[in-house]
Amino acid sequence: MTTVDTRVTSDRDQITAQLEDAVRAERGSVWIRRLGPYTPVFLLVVWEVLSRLGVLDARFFPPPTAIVETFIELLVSGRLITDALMTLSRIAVGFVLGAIPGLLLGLLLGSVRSVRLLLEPVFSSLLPIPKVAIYPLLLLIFGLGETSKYVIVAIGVFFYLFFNTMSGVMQTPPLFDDVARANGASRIQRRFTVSLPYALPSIFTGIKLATGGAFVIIAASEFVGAQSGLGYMIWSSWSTFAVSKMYVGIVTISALGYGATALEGLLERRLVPWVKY
Amino acid sequence: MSGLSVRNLWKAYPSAESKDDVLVALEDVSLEVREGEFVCVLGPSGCGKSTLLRIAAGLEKPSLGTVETPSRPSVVFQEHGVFPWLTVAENIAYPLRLRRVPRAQRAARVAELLDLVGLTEFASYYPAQISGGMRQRTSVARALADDGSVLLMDEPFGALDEQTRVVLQQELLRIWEQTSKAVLFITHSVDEALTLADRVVVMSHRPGRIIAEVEIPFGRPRDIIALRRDPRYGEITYQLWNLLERDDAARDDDEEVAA
Ligand SMILES: Nc1ncnc2c1ncn2[C@@H]1O[C@H](COP(=O)(O)OP(=O)(O)O)[C@@H](O)[C@H]1O
Ligand SMILES: [Mg+2]
Repeated sequence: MTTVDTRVTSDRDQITAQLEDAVRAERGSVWIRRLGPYTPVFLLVVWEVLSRLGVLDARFFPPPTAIVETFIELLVSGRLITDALMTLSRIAVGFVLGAIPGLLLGLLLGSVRSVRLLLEPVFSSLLPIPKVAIYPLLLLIFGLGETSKYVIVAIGVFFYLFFNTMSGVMQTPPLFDDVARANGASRIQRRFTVSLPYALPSIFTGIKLATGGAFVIIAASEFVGAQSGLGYMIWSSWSTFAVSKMYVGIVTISALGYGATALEGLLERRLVPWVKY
Repeated sequence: MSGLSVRNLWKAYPSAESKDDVLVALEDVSLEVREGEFVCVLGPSGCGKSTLLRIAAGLEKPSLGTVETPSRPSVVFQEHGVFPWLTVAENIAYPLRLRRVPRAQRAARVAELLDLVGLTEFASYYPAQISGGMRQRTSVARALADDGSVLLMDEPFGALDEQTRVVLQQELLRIWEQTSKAVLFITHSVDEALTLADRVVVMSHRPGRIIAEVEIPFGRPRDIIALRRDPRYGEITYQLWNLLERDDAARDDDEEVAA
């Protein structure tokens, strides 16, 4: 009896050890996992060294420390903050102007078949037009002021919200609409108590894509049609060959875009709490 | 005031096979549910039970015939009828919100109903976080919040395991016995029909016709477990199965003739 027990136990230990090895092997090397987060820093160091040694052409790839210096200069002079706020306010106003009609029209076309059949081809044919391609026209119509920037961002944002809302609404299971009708909901009430909440996850996807799109559009518009903003900052650095400043502009835009998307993620978790279950 | 009255109801759908043809789902169905009466509609899958209920609920129009109710009925749907984006309490409050019942009054009513169906602890849970049985309790509570004098239920416990189903059946009876609602309860289960009903309406295979009405002699309030020892329980079970099987046999004959 005792001998049998011992054998079983020692087998167990051995197997446990083997299992641990197998699990570890599947997870990959500890070293590589620990190093992962530091690779960007490592690349920056390599960049710095190569740039200082002259292996990289410092005119196009100034050492990161030089870029940081420029960043601090621009920050202290207030120039960077002014430009960033300018760009952000254009995005914010344009976003609201485009998102609200996009959402409402998406809700309407998603839920009313006849309207969809009539109007969807219009929006589908406008979708592939590169939004910046109509910027010159907007400049003619609205002039060089802020309005033209709001409108170009709004147009870009509109399409993301419109198509994502519409497809979310169209996927609503008919049962939910029946439940609402059986509880006495009017047509309008059904749109706002069934279609809208059902489409919310898809709407948030639209909002995040629209944010990325809005930064691209505003940067491009500020290149040519503005005297302020991060796009203008990047463009004017090109013409004066202030390459460090150009990098500061690029990094700031990407940081703002990242921040905006992160904020939207927080908002999404608050407004769409049922999705995580 | 009568509960629900269905007279000479026919329903046809466009046939998927040929454009000129129609698929007859309901054939000349007439039935009556009086105030305070619990009627079960029993029939095989696909015989048009849900169609009957949807027409009674006003979700679809009859092809021929009429359905009369004193007011809009309240409905408990088959599974998945609770909104996943609302919590248990919000789901129950839904019909009250549509009617713009003031917030305080709404909260008070929802609290009562949560208590009635035993979900007070789960008020702020989302449907995905609770069991199938709890979801159907939520569904029942929502229909009670809607408070129509006619209650329509479409196989509400069909997707539940047997033990949960028996518990919910007993609770449904307990709750309903305190009201004077007319209930039309749809099921494909012989056992469920005779456990719950005052009267069982048996339907045939498609096209759905009423082939029999069977009075259930058990009194109220009912203990649905004790019921199973009653000698009449076996008798009625046998009778209902017989009706269904005879219809089944008749259909097989038809098909042989057709072939
Ligand atoms: N919207 C519809 N369009 C076409 N046929 C339908 C529709 N709804 C139901 N039917 C048909 O009507 C018949 C009865 O369906 P249903 O009422 O759901 O049956 P049950 O609930 O008894 O299982 C079925 O043959 C089904 O295919
Ligand atoms: Mg059905």
